[in-house]
Parts: sequence; structure tokens; C-alpha cells
Amino acid sequence: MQPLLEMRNLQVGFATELGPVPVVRGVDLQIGRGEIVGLVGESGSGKSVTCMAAMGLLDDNARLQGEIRWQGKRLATQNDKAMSVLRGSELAMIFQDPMSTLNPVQTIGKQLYEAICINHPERMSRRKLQTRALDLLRDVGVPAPEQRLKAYPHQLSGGLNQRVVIAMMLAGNPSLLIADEPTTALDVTVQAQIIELLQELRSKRGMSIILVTHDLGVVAETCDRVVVMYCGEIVEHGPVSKVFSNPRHPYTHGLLASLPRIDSSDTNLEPIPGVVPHPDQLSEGCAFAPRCPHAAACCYSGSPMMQCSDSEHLFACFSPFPVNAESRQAHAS
Amino acid sequence: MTPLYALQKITRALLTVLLIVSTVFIVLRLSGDPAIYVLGLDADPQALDAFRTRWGLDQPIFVQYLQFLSNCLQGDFGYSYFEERDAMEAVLERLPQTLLLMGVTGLFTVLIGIPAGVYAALHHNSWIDRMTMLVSVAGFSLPNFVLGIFLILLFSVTWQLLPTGGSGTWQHLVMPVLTMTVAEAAVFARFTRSAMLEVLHQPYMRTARAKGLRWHQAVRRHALPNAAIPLVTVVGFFVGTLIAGGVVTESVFAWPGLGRLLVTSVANRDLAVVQIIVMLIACSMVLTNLIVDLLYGWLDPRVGSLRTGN
Repeated sequence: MQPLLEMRNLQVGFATELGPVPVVRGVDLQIGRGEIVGLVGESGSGKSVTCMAAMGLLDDNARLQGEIRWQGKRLATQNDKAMSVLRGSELAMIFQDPMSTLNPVQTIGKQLYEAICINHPERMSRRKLQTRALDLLRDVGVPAPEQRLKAYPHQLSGGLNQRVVIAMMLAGNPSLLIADEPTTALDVTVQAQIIELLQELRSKRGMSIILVTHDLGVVAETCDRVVVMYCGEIVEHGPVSKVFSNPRHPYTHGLLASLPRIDSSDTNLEPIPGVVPHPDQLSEGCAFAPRCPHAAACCYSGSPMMQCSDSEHLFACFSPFPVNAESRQAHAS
Repeated sequence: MTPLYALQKITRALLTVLLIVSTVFIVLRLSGDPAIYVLGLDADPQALDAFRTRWGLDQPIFVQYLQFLSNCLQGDFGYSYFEERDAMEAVLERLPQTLLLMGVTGLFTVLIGIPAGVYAALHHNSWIDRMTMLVSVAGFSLPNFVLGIFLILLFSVTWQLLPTGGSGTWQHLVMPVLTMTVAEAAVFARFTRSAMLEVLHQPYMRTARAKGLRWHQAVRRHALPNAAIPLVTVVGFFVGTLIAGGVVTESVFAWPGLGRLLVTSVANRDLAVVQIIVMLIACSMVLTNLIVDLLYGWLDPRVGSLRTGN
């Protein structure tokens, strides 16, 4: 089946005074209908830029290469007019800090009406507009929606604002929602509610979701597939169950090992040593090599290609973790 | 916006006016004897005494002050020794000329400054942006009197196109307005630009586009209205600089307005006239800032509720 969104060798660089800085370096990614894909990696790994590229929302100094296809058709991501037609009606996006993603001086209602109007070709009466806005707010679980229409963003909580943003993005009935760290700025209990809402959107509307997050726990719970990025490249991807039970790339392994586990008495977390290098200070070879416990001589000279762990699970590493016993059994059966 | 917020603002405004007027009253009385200015240094001592008694200048200063306040409250703002008539009458006669100058300048300032700032912000870091900012720095660095004299040299002396001073026709208006507009529009352009740049990078602009708005639609519906909010505060300062610039510009171009009257009245120690003009300036400043504050509370829903703590 044709993927909804497809990226082929996507490269994004930013023109700066010190020359171009590569931030996304050859990403190949496919998002199918109705799936939730987790995009994980440390800050600075290029997750958000990849998403912004698909939305056509990169700044003017971004230089884009490779291609992004929407239902097989190549997107003119630098063409604001063409992209604005798709945004909101085909792909939509929600962001990290819901308190600042809404215009602080306009009411929730006004901003919702705007989203509805742009995505409806014919003019709507005030009454119809309001009915539709209330429906949207109810869909995303906003209590007492009638009162919220007149409220300003600062009068609502972060969780409610995030629901309002989601409602706005649903106005055009998009097939893909990109959620860029939608819960990072929220309380833990509210986080769970928002994640639940996203799952509900998938099951009720068949919407595909790209979930950008730091929270591997959330990925394990909600996503079908996980894509691990490091320094603008995909280092490992595959079904969540396979990647998490048997991470092959040392980076994925490191991310999982640095998580606290409730079922383990071992209280020592293992952080990944070092920090993400700045995109213009990447060494030759594998970008992760300087921080990698397994790095061999070859890791510093050549870039590893994607290879299959099995048909769905891929990774890019010269000295991967071995296939563990569980997975081998699962494979044999 | 709540009534409490408005009440606080109004009380503060009234106190400010009182403070300014009192300071001016005292400083003027301490800085020279009007009797000598009016009658001359070699005047008869008896005449000087008679003058002082006539205008109550022989009284202790706090008695004069209380008398002044009570007169003001009754609508009597004093007598101009120099023009020998009611001081308010002398001031009001000049007011229309100054209002005309300020009005035309204000109009051009807004029409030039704001579009220039918006354009520069939308083309951030382009050569147009840099040029606009260069011109603007030059504009507000150049003192009014330098620019004024330069214009007179150019348009009146060299090319003989415009009258050097006075008022009456639109030609008289060109150079004073140009002199003041250059500085004011420069400030407006800079403020508009930075307000726009601030807003253009807000996350809600991204959200607006994610909904499906095109760039220019997002600018029109979300950036421009929001950038106008900090710009409103500039209007408060604007009236102040307009008055200050007006005093200098009116003197350079012999424009028969309040600014020039203020300069001559200070030189002549025409106390009542100076007091009225200062009071007018103080009131207009305070009033503008009051309006700005109230407008702010109305434009930005976050302000009123923050102050009262809801």
C-alpha cells in the first residue's frame, strides 16, 4: 500500500553566517495510514526539523534537498501557497508549549473559527461556525465548551490549551497529525490524558500520527513503530516491540539503559556519556562513534549503511548489539 | 479591564499633573524677579515695589502657591505681564498653530514610520532592512535645529523655493513638518520593526500557519495586531518628543505656536504664560499615557487580569 507520507534522502541545512549547517542528513521515512510512529532522540537530533520540513514551515534560511512525497505526489515544500492548501486539511501539527502556541490576545473561539473557515471552501454562517467549533471542542474532551469559546488562552490550563490546539488542527480533518513533543510542557497526569486523546483520534478517525518525544515510555505504550534519530540521521527503526526488546544500535541501547525501570531493583541508571555534537562539528564516520562504547576503528572512517535485523527492523551500525535469545526464538517460530 | 485598574490610573495621572505644576511654580519663582524683567534693571524702586504688590510677588512663596492653586481651581490662570492680557487667552491663541503642526507631523510619522518598520521586519536582514535602519539611525541622531537650519539653507537660501519662517500657507508648513517627521518617523520605524520581529517568531505564528494560513495571512491576522500592542506605548513617548521637538522647530522656523511662546515667555519671566503652557504639556502627556494604559488593558486581555490578580 502506498504510504501517506514518504521522505527520500531528506537533507536540511541552515544557511548561517559561518556557512551552511547540516541538521537533517539523509532521512528515509515512510508513514502509513492509521499508524502511530514515534520519533525519538536527544535534543538536537533533527526530529523537529524533519517534521517542520514536511509541513513546509522551515525558516527562509533552510536549504532542503531530497524529496518529500504526500500520497505519492512530490511536495513543493518551499512553496507557501501550495503547502498552505495541504496544511490543516491533509497534515497538521501540534507543538510543545501549548501556552505560547495560541495567540494570547485572541479568544479561543476566534482562533477556532479561523481554523474552520480556512478549511471550508464555502462561507459558513456564524451559527454553523459555532456549532462546528463546539463539536470540535467536545471531540477533544474540553469540558463546558460554550464557556471556553469566549476565554483567552491565559485563562485555561496547559492541558486544556493543548486540547484546543488539537481541536483547531482537526478542523480540516487531516489524515496525518504531527505531534512535536505535545506533552513535554505538561503535568504528568495531563500528559497521559493527551496521549490517550491522540490514541483515540487514531482509533476513531484512522488518523496517522507522528509522535516526536523524549519519553520512551510513551512510545512503548502508544506507537506501532519507532524511529530513532541521532545527529540528523535515522540510526534504527522498526516495530516498537522489536526495537525495544532487542535494540541493535548502541545509541538505542543507551537511550533505553538510561531510563529508570520500575521492575528492576538496579537503581543505577546508565547515562550515555558525552553530549550531542553541534551539527557543524560532526566527525567523519559514524556520528555516534565518539560516544559509543562499541566503537571500532572502522566507525571513525566510514558511515554505516542501513542493514536489516529482520524484514521490518533496520539499523545503521558497524558493531551492533547481537540478536538476543528472545528475538531469535520469536523469529524461529 | 476593571474599574479599580482605571481608578488607580486616573488618580496617578492627577497626582502627576499636580507635581509637575508645583515644581514649575516654585522653580520659576526662585529663578528670577519678573518685576525687573518687565520694568527693566534701572527702574524706579517704588515702581518695582508697586509691581510686586500688584501681583502678590511680595508674599511668602507658599502663600503665593496656595493663592495660585485656588485661582486655578476657579478657572483663573493668571495675567500675562508682557502681553498685558489674560494669559490663557494668549496661550489659546497660539494653540491651533501648534496643533496643526503636531497633527500633520503625527500623520506623516505614522504613514511613513509604521509601513517602513513592518517592511523592514518582513525582509529581516535584507539590504532593504539594513538601509531602512541606517536611514532611521541618521534620522533620529540628527538634532532638529541642525536639520531645520540645513533645510532653510537648501530650500530657502539656495533654491529659494520655500519661505524661511512664519505661517499662513502650506509652503510654510513643509519645512517644519519635514524637520519633525524625520526624527519621529525614524523612531516609529525602529519600534515597529522590533515589535514585528518579536511577534513574527512567536510560536502562535507557526500554529496559525499549521492551521492552513498562508504566510501573509498569518502576518495580517496575527502578527500585525499583536505588534500594535507594544507600539501603542510608543505613542505615549511620541507626544512627549513631539512637544519637545516642537519647541525647537517652532523657534527655528519662527512658527507662531506654543513652543515659541514658551521660549520667549521663559526669557521674559512671563510667569503665568509659562505655567499655563507647562500645565498644558503636562496634561497632554499624562492624558496620552493614561489613554495608552487604558487602551493597553483593552488590547491585551492579559494586562487587566494580571493587575487585579484574577
